[in-house]
Amino acid sequence: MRERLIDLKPKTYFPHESAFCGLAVALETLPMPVAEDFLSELAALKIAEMPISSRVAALCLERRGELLISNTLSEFKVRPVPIFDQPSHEHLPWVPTESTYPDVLPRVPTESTYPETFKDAA
Amino acid sequence: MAHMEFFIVSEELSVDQQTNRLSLFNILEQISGPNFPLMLVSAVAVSLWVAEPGDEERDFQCTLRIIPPGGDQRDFTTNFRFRSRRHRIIQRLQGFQLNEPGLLRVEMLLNGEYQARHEVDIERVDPSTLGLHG
Repeated sequence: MRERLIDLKPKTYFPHESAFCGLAVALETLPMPVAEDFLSELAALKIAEMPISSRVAALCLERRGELLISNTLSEFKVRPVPIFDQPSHEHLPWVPTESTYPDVLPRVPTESTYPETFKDAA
Repeated sequence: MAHMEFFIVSEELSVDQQTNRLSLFNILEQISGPNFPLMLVSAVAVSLWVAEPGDEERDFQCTLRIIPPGGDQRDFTTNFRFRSRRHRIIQRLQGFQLNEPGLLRVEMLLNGEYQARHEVDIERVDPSTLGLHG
């Protein structure tokens, strides 16, 4: 885009405007914030050198609003969550275990290891 | 008037910034603890609303009603307007105290009208039966 904008000259129709219009349509349904920013900025652009793209972007924004899901987030702190100044293991229940995972898992004899495989391949 | 697509309460959720996709983690079904009161450190209620024609101009009030076992209900309200046809309301609660075991009811109301509920069993566990120490 930056490379194309070099061709933007005052009082001359911008030759890459159709590409900007195409990009606006392509970004229309993408929920990324960058797509929203691009469309909003393009829709707000009022220059004679790019007469169509701002209208296309405005239409894309309108359609985007119909298609995408918007979010409202509210946070309620009912009461402060206690912060323990003692080590956490003193508060958490301790579960005795008789075996650990490596003991439970069956041991599979391996005849070769990765370094050996690589050596063979070499 | 707008209608609800779903309502659910989980421990945590995530909305992907790039795709706007919603992921829920640990949907609350049962909460167990040896001692009461229990602290519900984090709970997130999410509801998806779909606008009907004309709803774009209206203000809506979403109320999350918590009815703990043996306790007084508490309401948490969120106001919103439809910016698109589908709208998610995410309400995050931190540090909710549960005083006794029983049934925790979480209700969702739209403009004061009951819409849906999510129930969570709050249970007391005996540490000795589980072989817990400490």
